[in-house]
Amino acid sequence: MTSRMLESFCNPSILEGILGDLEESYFENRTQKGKLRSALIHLLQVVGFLRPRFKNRSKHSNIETMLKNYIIATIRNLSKHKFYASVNIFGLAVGMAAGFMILQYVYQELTYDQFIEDKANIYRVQTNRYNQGTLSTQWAAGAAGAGYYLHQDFPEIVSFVNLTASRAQISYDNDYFELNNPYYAGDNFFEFFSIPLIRGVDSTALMDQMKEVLSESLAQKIFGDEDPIGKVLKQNDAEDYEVTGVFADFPERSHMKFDLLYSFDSFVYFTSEDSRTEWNWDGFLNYVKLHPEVNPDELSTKFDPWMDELRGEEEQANFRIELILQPLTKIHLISNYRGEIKPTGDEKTTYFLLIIGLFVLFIAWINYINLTTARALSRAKEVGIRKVLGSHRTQLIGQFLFESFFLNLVSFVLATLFVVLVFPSFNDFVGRSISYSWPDASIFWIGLAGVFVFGLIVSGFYPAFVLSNFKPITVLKGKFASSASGNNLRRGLVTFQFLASVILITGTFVVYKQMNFLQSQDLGVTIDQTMVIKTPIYQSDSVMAIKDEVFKNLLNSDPAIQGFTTSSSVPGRTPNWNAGGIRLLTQDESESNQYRVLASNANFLDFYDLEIVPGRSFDDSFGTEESNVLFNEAAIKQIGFEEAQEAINQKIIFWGDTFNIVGVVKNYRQESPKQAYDPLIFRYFPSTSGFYSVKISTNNMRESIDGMQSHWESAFGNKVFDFFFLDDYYYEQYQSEVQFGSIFGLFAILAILVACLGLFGLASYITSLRSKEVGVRKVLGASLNQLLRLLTWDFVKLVVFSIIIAAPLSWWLMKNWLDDFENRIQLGLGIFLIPALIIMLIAVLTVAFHTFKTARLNPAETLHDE
Amino acid sequence: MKGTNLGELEELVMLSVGILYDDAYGLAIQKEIKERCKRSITISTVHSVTSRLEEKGYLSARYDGATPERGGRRKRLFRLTAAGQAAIVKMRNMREEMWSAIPNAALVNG
Repeated sequence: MTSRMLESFCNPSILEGILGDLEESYFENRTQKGKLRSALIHLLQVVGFLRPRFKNRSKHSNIETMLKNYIIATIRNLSKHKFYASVNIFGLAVGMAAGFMILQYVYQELTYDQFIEDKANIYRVQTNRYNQGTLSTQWAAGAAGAGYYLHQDFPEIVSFVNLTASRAQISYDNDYFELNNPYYAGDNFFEFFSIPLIRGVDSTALMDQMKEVLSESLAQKIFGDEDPIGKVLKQNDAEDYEVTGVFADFPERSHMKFDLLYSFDSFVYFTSEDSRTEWNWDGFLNYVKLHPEVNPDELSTKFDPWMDELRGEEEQANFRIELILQPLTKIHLISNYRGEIKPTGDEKTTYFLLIIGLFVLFIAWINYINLTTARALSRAKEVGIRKVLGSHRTQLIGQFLFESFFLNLVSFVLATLFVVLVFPSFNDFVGRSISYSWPDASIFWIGLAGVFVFGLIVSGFYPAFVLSNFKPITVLKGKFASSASGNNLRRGLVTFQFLASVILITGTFVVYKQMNFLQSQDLGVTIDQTMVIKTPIYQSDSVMAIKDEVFKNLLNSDPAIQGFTTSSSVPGRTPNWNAGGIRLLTQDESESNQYRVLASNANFLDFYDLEIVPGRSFDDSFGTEESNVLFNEAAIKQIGFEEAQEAINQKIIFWGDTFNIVGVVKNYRQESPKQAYDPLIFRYFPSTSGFYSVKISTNNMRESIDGMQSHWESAFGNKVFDFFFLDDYYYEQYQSEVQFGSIFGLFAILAILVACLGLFGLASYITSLRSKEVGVRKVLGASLNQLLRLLTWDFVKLVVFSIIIAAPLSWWLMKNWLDDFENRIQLGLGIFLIPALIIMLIAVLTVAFHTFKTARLNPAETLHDE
Repeated sequence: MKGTNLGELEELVMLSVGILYDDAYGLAIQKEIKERCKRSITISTVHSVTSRLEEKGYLSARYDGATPERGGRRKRLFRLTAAGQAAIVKMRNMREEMWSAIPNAALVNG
């Protein structure tokens, strides 16, 4: 094939020598460098010969002359109409750039965990727990028994692996290190996910108890360049673990992220052998690998009957456990439940963004079509002359396609430039690190080329066919006017542009209002000026109690500290204690329910300004508070009371013990205003571990932190001092919505910008066509006002029409988005009216600018020629 | 003819053609330059230089010596023409003259 290419290109007198040399060189390379590489070298060599020197001069190339002609015609045409050309190119470039960025973002979100070899066959078992037929808790994790028994009973499942989170501080040579994501992992973890270890042996690293494998970065942090294998790390000042391996840090685009993995056998050693098979503790991530031929949907249908048999039908009827298979590569997108390893993405947001990206892209293409066909009039004569001089229609199509290609190419280059320029800030914007490197994003680049080609076809072909279709005789007679059908199409396209713009503005508006609404919610809890510190971990409770006492005394004696409390969780954080089987003493076991549980000191409610509706809070001086609990209003409702008052002094059964309800806490936003109030039980633990919350004066932040740190060091030595400020922490929960809002806003602005550019170009063109008409009207006595109304009305009609269509569409879209929020704004009329008015204003201003110019022209000037 | 000046690459190619004498074709010239000057030039560059030199009348070419490795195609063998020989001799003389014109002192300390 390559030789044919050269044959048609090269001067025949030297061709044979060249071909011979190439063949010989290929022959030599093949024996030395292998087939593929030598073929590649060959190809490059052939391309090297495509230069003018070797060209066959006797043959006159048609293509070359034609292309030259096209280029000249294109450049002349563009430079003659600089304004249209720049509007066209700029609009297209902005649209493309916006489209590219969004497509890239969406692409990244859709391709997580691609590095895992067996990804197509790996599924995570997600667990839904039901109480009396109603869904109570959705877990990313589940009971360890799920993986174990599925694997045992279903031959379709080849293997499984368990993971469970750990909370640990480790030390080496008395240096303490904070762990972010330590997990216990089954011994086949690395083989299961085909993750090769950098050091150590995949298959045996997690065999046996008291073994651990570190991430590369953690190993680097602890050991530097030393070989960590065989070293011993102390966990929580007590257990010694031997380092048996090092794995490369997981890529950013994975739903998993660990810095340390302990062997699951260690977990079993500290708990009991039953931990591998139990069904009551939803703290285990279960991954299963299916046979390649197995259909996962078919397999899941067998789970329910199987569970009935395994757990008993009655148990399953009252406390149903539903197991769902999540495809590994989709976990990031579709899953957002309790016990995820790290924050996941959001499917709806991703697809919303995809729609926005496509909108912007389409708006840009439509601009191109509109501007090009609108200008057809001025080119009609050119087409006529060309045809008279003997041009074929195909040649004309070729010419116009070439023009499109040229414009698209320039815009494409500009767009890429935009993307590269704004791309670092876009990254910050979306909170993801987007990479554009070749193999990593190869599909992206191929997709980009696809968008380019598609855009070329969409935006190039229609104008090319319209323009080449003119009949020379009508055009040259000068009686040519654009056809009604062409006008209708153009109107349709402009309507679509405005439709998309209205939807985007309405969307931005709704997202913004919802965010404001959430942030202005009364949380029911005071979170400002609060510093939260994770409690240190000590193996022995008595040691911890002593140190804890020291620390609290220091806090008490510090005048800068206005109060403190200790609790197992803080507002803005899921209470990680989720307990099932809780019921009133008078209720049957089958009526029991799941609750979140928060353990705290007596002053927790006081500290956070939580309100007691009836009853009382905990009090240290009573001495019997261990057997008392507080319920929040949601929990009262769940357990079956209409009035909070009725619940006071009722007895409940909680894991076999009896507790007395002494107070009801007014509902507050423990997690986030996005969600409904969760049923929550408060228990009294004077020495709970978890978090110290400390109220500090904010006058001098630095000093307060330093002060806290010195207290910490005198009480706990060199244990890791890990703190955060609660208000920042709490608002981080809205981070993704805030980002979504700003992305939405940004692209809405871009879309409007592009749409207005198009309108601007179109208006300027059409009004200039009507300048003679305006002249005549002026001569006949039309006023400026009347003229403005006349010229603007055409466009206003389109905008009104698009607003009418856009309103129900955007209502439906935004309702869909809001459905995810338990707590949401109502979609009122104003939400649709304001964007509509904005669009109308922008459109009228854009058009009026031109019409005003035209209408002011002196009729003598517009009428004197011809 | 626009001047008879030789570019450096042209000179190297001509010298190689001289060295190879009876077997001076594209690939051999490329190898000769690579071995002697440690310079990698692409095969298309070699052909482009030889064709330029042919135009200047410094090289003549004939076809001969087909081998199976070449897919049965003949080699395009080059030979220095009289003008070509004169040109490289002139080049050498010019260089030697210039060398001898450099005073010894200028070369002592580099």
